[in-house]
Amino acid sequence: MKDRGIAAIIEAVVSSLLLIAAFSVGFYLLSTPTISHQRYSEDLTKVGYNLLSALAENDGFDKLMFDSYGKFTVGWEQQLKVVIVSLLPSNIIFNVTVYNATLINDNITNFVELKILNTATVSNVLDESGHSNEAAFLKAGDNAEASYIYTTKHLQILVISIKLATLGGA
Amino acid sequence: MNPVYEYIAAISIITLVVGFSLYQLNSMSSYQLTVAHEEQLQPVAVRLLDKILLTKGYPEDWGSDIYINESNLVDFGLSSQLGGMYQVSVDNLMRLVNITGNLVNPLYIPPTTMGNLTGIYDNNSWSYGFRLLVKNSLNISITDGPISEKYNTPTNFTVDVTNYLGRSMSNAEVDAFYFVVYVYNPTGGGKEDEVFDYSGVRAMNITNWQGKTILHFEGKMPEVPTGIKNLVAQVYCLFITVNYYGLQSQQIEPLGGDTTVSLLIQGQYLIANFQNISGIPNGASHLKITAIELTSSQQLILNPADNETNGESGKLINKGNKNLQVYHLENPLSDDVIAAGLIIRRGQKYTIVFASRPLIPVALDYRSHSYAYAGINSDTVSRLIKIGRNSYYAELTLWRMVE
Repeated sequence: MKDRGIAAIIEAVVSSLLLIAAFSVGFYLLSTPTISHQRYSEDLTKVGYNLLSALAENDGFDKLMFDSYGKFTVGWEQQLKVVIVSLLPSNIIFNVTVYNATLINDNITNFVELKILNTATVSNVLDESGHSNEAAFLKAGDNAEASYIYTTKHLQILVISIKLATLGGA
Repeated sequence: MNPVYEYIAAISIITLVVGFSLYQLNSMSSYQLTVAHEEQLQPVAVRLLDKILLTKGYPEDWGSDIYINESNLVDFGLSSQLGGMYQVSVDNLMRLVNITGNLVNPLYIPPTTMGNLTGIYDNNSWSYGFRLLVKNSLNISITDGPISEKYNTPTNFTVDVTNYLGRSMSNAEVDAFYFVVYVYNPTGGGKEDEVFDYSGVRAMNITNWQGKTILHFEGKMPEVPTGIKNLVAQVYCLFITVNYYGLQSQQIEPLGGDTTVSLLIQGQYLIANFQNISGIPNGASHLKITAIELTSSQQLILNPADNETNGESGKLINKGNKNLQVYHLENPLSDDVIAAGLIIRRGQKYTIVFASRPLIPVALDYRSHSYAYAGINSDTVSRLIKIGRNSYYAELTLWRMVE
């Protein structure tokens, strides 16, 4: 009789511990706010578009990427990176991809082909192999992406895409 | 074990479990609500900045229409009527400038009006406090070189360029227009017969890795054309444009002069005001009331002003009853015009005074309170905006007044 009583107490203690553990896990899982990610992303998208738009004004991308004959300048990716680094706050990481947009007409369908133009990575977070460090974007608090369609002086159509993230979380 | 103790222990454990669970659930929901409450500040700030920068307000020409004031402004917004996204109307922006020097803007729109129209101020209280700061995207600092004996003005200038984050801007294009405004008397008559004209030269350079460059004008200084009769005076002025891959800012530096006159542009009006400066005698100043306008596309335009008064009294500024003059410029100023200047004579000395629009280097510091007492409960959002061809950095800080 006495042993059964002790067993029941142990049973109750264990079950209550399990309950407490379950509630604690549930608390930590549920309490991670998703609202902050949504709110910063909205602003970050606008920051990205605003930056590309500012550089596109007054022929900024033409000066950055092309010579007077419309040919790509040597090392334009590095120059683009330097310019974007100088204009963004230091807690924002980015990765820029520049596409050439070409209309393909194969007599069946018309579609726009996007071909990546940058041979070097235009990013301020690089991994060991010199590519954009995607893990840094995954770990960052907020991610956003913005695109800008830019027609050069020599009528080349570029799609410039910028991916941004805020370090240090929301 | 006695069943009574067993029941007591079991009830205690159940009470503990239920109590802890209720506590956890309660704190969980209140934590979520706290997070949501704090986080909503940023969307409000983003929406308010979008409202300010992306809408025109109503009437749409409220910035240039002098009959629109705080009581009949229907909607608030700074966007330009003609430009694209983030293109701001300089007339609208200048209506938010309260004081320039000692000149109080008679057409000022106070922050309470903006607060009322955007819904952050109601019944004499602010629900959110704010500070809207607009400044040059590129900060241009000019250091004069030694003064040339021949021209009595510097012939080279060191230009230092930093951006809105304070970083040195290397590889920025620095384009300078160095001009001389000369006053002469073609008929040889009295002072009222004097006229003026200008001539200038350009120089260009690229900033080094420190964001610095030197502009050299040795051997190609701006000069008064030969054949000018009865030259009275000449005044030099440097107009610098810096372009950094699309971001553009400008700076004007009149050389060799001080004056007791301050200017402000409001719409199509140029307001001149006597300014008491220690060390400068309080004598009257005579104004040549043709404005010299400088544009963001680096042009110089002469724009005559209407003088409604008889004789010379409308061209006089002094400490007494003529301490404020308002001139109506004949031609409307486009958003491209970044400054208008007047030639001023005090005794036999001539100087040139410019009023920039917007102001340089801080275009606007518009705020609900004289100081921000938000502490950490504030949020700041920023955008790059344009006025004419020039770029500016706009930053809105918002804080909640009641928690």
